[in-house]
Amino acid sequence: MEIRDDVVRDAASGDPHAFRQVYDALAPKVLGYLRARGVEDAEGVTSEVFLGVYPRLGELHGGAAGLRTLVFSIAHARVVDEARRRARRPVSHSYDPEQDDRTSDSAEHLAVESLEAERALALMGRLNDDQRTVVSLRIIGDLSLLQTAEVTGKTVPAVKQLQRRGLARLRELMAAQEVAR
Amino acid sequence: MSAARLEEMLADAGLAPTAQAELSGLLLPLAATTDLVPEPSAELAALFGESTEGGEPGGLVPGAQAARPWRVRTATAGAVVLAISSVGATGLSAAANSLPSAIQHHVSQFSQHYLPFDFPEPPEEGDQPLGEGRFALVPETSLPHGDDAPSGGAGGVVGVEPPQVLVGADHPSQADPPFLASATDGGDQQEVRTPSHQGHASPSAAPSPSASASPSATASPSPSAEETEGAEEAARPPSPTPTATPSSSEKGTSEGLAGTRPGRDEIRSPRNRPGRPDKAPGKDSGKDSDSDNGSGKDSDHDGVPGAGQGDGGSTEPADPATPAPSIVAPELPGLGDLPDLPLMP
Repeated sequence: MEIRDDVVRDAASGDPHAFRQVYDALAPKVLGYLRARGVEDAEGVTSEVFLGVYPRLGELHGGAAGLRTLVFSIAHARVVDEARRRARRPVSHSYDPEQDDRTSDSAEHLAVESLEAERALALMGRLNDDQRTVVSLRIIGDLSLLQTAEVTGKTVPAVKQLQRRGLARLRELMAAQEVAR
Repeated sequence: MSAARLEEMLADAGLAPTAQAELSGLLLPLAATTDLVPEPSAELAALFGESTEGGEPGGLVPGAQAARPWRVRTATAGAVVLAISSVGATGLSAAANSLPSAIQHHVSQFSQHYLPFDFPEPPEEGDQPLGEGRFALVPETSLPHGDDAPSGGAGGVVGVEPPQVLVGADHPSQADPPFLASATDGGDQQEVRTPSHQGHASPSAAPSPSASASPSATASPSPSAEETEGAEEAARPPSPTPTATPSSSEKGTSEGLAGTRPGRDEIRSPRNRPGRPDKAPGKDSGKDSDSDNGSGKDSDHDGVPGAGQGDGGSTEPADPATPAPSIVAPELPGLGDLPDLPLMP
């Protein structure tokens, strides 16, 4: 779903219906990005992201593209905050085999659920942080190189390099997974 | 993400075509997962206006609108604080009567009309105190002179032309005069010193007129003193008495003696009290003869310690019911050359 610039203007002027349209257009991508980054309560954080977006609509520039960059910038900041919080206070969970991506999925699991996406997320989880961020923003957030660079605070060539290395790493992981099967 | 865009991204990565196909098959389902719209939280739903009737949004508003009330509140609070501070400072200044006259007047009027307390009125123009500074020069015409002196009995004796007087000041020579009227040790030479007659005193230089006007000055020796001297009094030359005072020493007059001038009573010092000059005759008479006990007693009436220390100084208090006779002049050697001076009634 694409966002029109007039909708963005209405949302910036305080129209709740326009803001709802913005939410419907961008919230699934934000949710996918947060899940790809391993955020625990991705849906809750998605709502927090848009609650943080709404007060800043008055200072928005760039129309729909600018709004997309703003939304993912806030989402990325939340991801970073949660990663730091987790680093300070590690959360211990009991062992759950389904969450163990070191094991191969069972045939049942693969058959019952459409797990291609899960598989992709599992593989992306094995990338380093910058690679995962860039690949997630480019594929799930559907951001351009420039927008990705703005969100991550890096240059476009740096984003390009991270994207290339991340995809190459995913290919290696896929090959290793095929061999393991 | 569209397949074309994904392929473009994979081509930029420099991967082999087979690898690009495998990755495309992996990542396209991942991009497809972003079609589900998550359920907004309650707060966000309120923001969308879904939980309130009429479609009004909830408590949150866009940044520009949300910042406006905050600025208004800040400005209002600042204005209130400024107003309270101004009123408080004005009140303190008005209480200290340090505002400009016009403002002080208005504030005073306002307080008198509307407040339970009153601020002081500003001082009027030209309301400068007379005693501004240490000394105030009293015009000469405002002071009584010579014979017009109401209280200076001695003023009638000799015309004294008072110069300008320093009034209301703590001039050392006036406020604390060394008012000594004592006899010299030899007893044959009496030296009476007044505050400003020092050095050129003569027997005729007597205590100040204020002393002569005092009751104690008119009070006289006790009856016993009068009885003992009875006959001698006629033969003796009249001697200076406290009432028959001041010789009009021109020098003293020119120096502005307060003691020879009416109005001196206004600035009495402890030594210049009415009864104080009696001490001098008392002393003198005490030294000179026993018959002068009365004078010493008079000194005792004043309650001045040490008064009447002469030989004949009596400690007996004078009988207040006894009418005060005239003062008996002490017998002083060398006083015979003095002119006759009238005694005070």
